[in-house]
Amino acid sequence: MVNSSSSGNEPGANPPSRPTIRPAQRQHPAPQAPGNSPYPGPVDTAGSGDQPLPSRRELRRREAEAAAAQGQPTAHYSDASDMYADPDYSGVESGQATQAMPPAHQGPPPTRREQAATRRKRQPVEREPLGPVRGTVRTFGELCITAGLVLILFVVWQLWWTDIEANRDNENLADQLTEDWANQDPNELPDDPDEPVVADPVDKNSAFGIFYIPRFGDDYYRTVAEGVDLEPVLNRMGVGRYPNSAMPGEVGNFSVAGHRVTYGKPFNKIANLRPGDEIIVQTKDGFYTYTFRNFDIILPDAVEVLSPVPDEPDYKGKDRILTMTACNPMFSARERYVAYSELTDWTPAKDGPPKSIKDSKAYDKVSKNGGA
Amino acid sequence: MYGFIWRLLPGNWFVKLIFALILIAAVVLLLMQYVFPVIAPYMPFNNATVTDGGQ
Repeated sequence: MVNSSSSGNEPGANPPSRPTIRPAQRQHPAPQAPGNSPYPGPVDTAGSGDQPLPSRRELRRREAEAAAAQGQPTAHYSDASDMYADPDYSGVESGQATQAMPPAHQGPPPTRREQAATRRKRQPVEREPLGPVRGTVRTFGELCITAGLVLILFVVWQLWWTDIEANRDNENLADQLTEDWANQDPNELPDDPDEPVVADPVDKNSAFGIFYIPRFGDDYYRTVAEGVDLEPVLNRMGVGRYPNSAMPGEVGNFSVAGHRVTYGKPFNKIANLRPGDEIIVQTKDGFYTYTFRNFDIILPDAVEVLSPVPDEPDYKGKDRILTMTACNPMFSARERYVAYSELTDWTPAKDGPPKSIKDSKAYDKVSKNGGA
Repeated sequence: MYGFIWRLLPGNWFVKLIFALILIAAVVLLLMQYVFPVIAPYMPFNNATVTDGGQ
């Protein structure tokens, strides 16, 4: 500190360029070198105005050797800062040395090259050690970021990828179903032409019909399977039929459930249904046309909506009803949206599809397979 | 953590990058194919049915 203050007085007298210091300082190298060697720190070298340059260079060499031998990072830091500090301080120190410009240029460059070389070598050594605290904090931060990314990925998967998968499954299943139908004989028609054939019950988790709902889109069709388990029915097979409810065409309540969001969202637009809208269910035997009547919003445990006369579990009923349930509001499990429909028409398979879906893209696509 | 993985990967930076991308793809596939389908039923927005117990 004493040195630096003394050097601080000098610059006012002489403001020459940096390199000039060094040669001047060289003039008395011998006495200074031994005095400096025990304190190789940046303060010393930078601050002392009367310090000779050659000794500094020697010092650095010695420092570098010592540091290399011991592997002390502190030595490198001081070395590096020295190099940057040098020019600034040299301007301050330069008061003494105005004469010896030329040799100065020869002096410093090798030093810098050396330093640069040593720095390059040492860099990885400096970087690697990360204290236990900083290491823990960094790892914790990285884990947090990872958790955030995983959550985002989950949302993407849930909202986007499940739809893609379920739609693909839906198409494959519908193709398979119509192929099967083409190889099976339909049930015998009842004597009364107005009376629909009651579809045969099927095994759990197997598909037995296809829903067409023109209100949901011209190309809308979803397979309907037995059971209301998430896997595999609701998540991969479209709509699921409540076990023990009526089959299509049967007197009673043909009740189905479907996702309103995600997994192909078969009932996404269930709230768009208007009284009079047709819901057509195709089975091996033909087409059942249900007409939408009204909707309700209920609590998740209101199973009475599945009874033959909804909300009146004690009555047997004589109508053929279709009840569709989906979650409400969207993305919530708090309530259920229920849509009630009534069978209003029926067409045997041999008579072809009803007018409302005859020219639709959905029926085109399904029937292309040579199915019913 | 990521620095550690990066250092474990062999080769120069380009090879490392390819390995890293493969690793990321593998993790994403694992999550989407096996982990998320297990978690999804516990999420509160996938219930479409009415049942005796609710939910």
